[in-house]
Amino acid sequence: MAHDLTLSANTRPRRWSAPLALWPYSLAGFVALFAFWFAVAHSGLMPARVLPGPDAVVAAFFRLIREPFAGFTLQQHLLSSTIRFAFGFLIAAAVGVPLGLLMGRFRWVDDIVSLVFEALRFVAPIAWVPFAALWFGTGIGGPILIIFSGAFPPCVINAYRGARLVEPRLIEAAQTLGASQWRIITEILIPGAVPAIIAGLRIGAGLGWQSLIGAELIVVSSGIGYVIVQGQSNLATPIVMAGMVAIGIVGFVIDVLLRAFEHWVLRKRSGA
Amino acid sequence: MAERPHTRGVGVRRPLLGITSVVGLFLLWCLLTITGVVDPARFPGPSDVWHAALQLSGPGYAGGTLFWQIWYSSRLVALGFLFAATTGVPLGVLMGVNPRAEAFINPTFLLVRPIPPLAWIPLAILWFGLGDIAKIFVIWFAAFVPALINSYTGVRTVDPTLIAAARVHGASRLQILFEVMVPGALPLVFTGLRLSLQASWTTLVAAELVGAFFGLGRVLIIAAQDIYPGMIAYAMAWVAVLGAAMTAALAVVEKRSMPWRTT
Amino acid sequence: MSAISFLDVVRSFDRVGDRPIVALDRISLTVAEREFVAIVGPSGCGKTTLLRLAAGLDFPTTGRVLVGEREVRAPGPDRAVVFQQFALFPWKTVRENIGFGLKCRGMSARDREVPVEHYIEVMGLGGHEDSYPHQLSGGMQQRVAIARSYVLEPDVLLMDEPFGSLDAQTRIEMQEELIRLARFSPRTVLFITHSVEEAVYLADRVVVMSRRPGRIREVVEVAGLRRDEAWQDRPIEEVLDRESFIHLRSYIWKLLRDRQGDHGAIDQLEPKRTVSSVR
Repeated sequence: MAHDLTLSANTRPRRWSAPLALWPYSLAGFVALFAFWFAVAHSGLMPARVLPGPDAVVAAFFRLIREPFAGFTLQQHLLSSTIRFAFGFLIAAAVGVPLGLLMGRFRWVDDIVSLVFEALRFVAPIAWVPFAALWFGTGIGGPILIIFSGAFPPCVINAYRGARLVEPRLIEAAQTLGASQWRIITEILIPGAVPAIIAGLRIGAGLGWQSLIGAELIVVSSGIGYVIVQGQSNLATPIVMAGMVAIGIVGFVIDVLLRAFEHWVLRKRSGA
Repeated sequence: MAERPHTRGVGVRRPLLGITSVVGLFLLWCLLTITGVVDPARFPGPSDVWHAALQLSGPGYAGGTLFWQIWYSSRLVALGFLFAATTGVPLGVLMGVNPRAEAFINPTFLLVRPIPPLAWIPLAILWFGLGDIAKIFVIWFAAFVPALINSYTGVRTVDPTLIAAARVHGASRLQILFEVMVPGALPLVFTGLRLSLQASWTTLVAAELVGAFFGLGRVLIIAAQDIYPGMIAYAMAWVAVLGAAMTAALAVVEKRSMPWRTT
Repeated sequence: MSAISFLDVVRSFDRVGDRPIVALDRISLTVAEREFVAIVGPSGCGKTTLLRLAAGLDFPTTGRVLVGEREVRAPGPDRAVVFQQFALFPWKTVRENIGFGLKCRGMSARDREVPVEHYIEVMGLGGHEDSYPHQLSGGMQQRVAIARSYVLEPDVLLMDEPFGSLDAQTRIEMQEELIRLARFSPRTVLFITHSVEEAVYLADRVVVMSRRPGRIREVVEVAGLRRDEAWQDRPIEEVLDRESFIHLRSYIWKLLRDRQGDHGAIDQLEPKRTVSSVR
């Protein structure tokens, strides 16, 4: 059994991939989860209101696609959410990444912005909801504000780190070759910081999506978060769970897309 | 990069810039609110916030004084966080050292992970009602994931040479686990705990915003309904302060428990 | 071509709480036009600092640094620097790296082609123009770095242990290469190295520096010897074997190892090591 220990210790850390010989365990885990769920749901131990079975959830999911609930169909709600997310995230990235880079490159920018940034950063994005409601009502501005406050810090922080981690030698080499400040930023700093920037974008997207859901629990009248809150008020648990599944899927897809983007950028960057 | 000597003021200049910008923003804030450029019903001025501070500290608001609200919120965060730490870290370590356990638990984890913790709030309310248990459940869930992932990664990235050295010295599996893998994984475990704590706090505020009897989140939502922007700002400030304080406290614990670290 | 002059240069660093660290203590040195001067010394003697002062990447605390009669104020392509770790831009191809300085100058892509191609050929990089640095060996990367500097036809070439990260064989190849290049296109060179052998083989004069605070122990003439014995016409293995070469090398080695020197007297009076006192 000590053999096991060295086996896992000697392999490089792989995130969430089990070697081929272990797939029976994965399958077993997968099956066990659904079997357990199904059994408990239909055993009568818990009322259907509390724990609907997987079949009920799937049914609710497709029903939401066919019939409107709380004003719109599932697709329409999802579209609403996605648009808000896109706006909020893109604004956060467009403002955050350049700011982070500038802070990393020029100490004085860092000095000026840092204190204020650190103070605001610790305000949980969700805490902006009351102001969002006050300032924007149920308009799109509210969710965008909240998404922004969730996605903005990682974009800034990672761009900052990326800029700082660019080898000073490279910047010096560029200086000795006669590069202007602008050229240094565009041809040295940004390419050098790209991996960190993209990592920041991925984290920012994750946090932004989460913040969106939080916002949609409260200050909106459409969207997937709205769906699950309405489902809860109506005691329609299958709808709540179906909504959660939809949220999970979209979040997953966003991450996959960003990973692909990361892959593409890194390949273009060093032709490997 | 070129540094010019004779700029002895550098050490003083830097914090000065930071303070100047903060002071500048504050003055701008006063200016905007006093001249009425911004609608006072929607945007609080310094005096509004001060007024709210007095009220919350004194007679109280939304069911209690400042102390009470903070105490209430913090209690829930602490409970949720502790549950998450005591379940997430050991499970993560287990998954890290035992590939079979990892393979078995993985699918469940992969399926559940993309669902943001906040999305569990309505379900938690359906299951447990509006009380404390629902909150603790959601906090637990939010904090559990980072603790687990980071403990797992921490264990997996322990230098294999160290483990080999332990085996050469005749250490048993349990000894290797507790004397090499756990201490080696501690830095990442703490990173996970830090993320857990932040997630706990964020989730609690969200849960309280959706529906609660007490707490800072409740203060926020009542203040929104009452259109009391001063109180909103004041409560937000406390959310930020407490978040920062908890992170700092954890950092202290982290430093103490890893005396061998230089960073 | 320009000459480099260090006039009574002192470079010290403030440390909070402690006394200042003196990296260079009253250095006066002139590198004549087209002269190849090597600097050797123990770690921490300030030789890299000296080079950075000439490059404009650092500034003296007191004293002046002149290149071509003008005081050094900022880095620039007239004083090209070759770094030990190559400092090639990882996301640019060989061609793009070499052409970078010309691009900064404002040359169009078409105008850049000829000089870049020329130096690719001169440095033996043919066939690798579109490769990325990580795809090349250490030796090739350093060739790219040298080409990148040379293509700008700089007045002054500053080289900071450029062959330090190469293996022994590649190192010798690069030394021969550099000699060839220097004959083909001579410029003022300031060359930092740990290797006494390298210094003697390449330089007209070798400056020997002392431990911190950095001072010049002695300047050793090599050019005369090289000329008399026609080293440039002989293969490197033969030169390294010559008695004159070995003698010179040993002499410099002794200078480096000998702790006493011009502050030998002070050492004897105060055998305890103290933080360097500023005279």
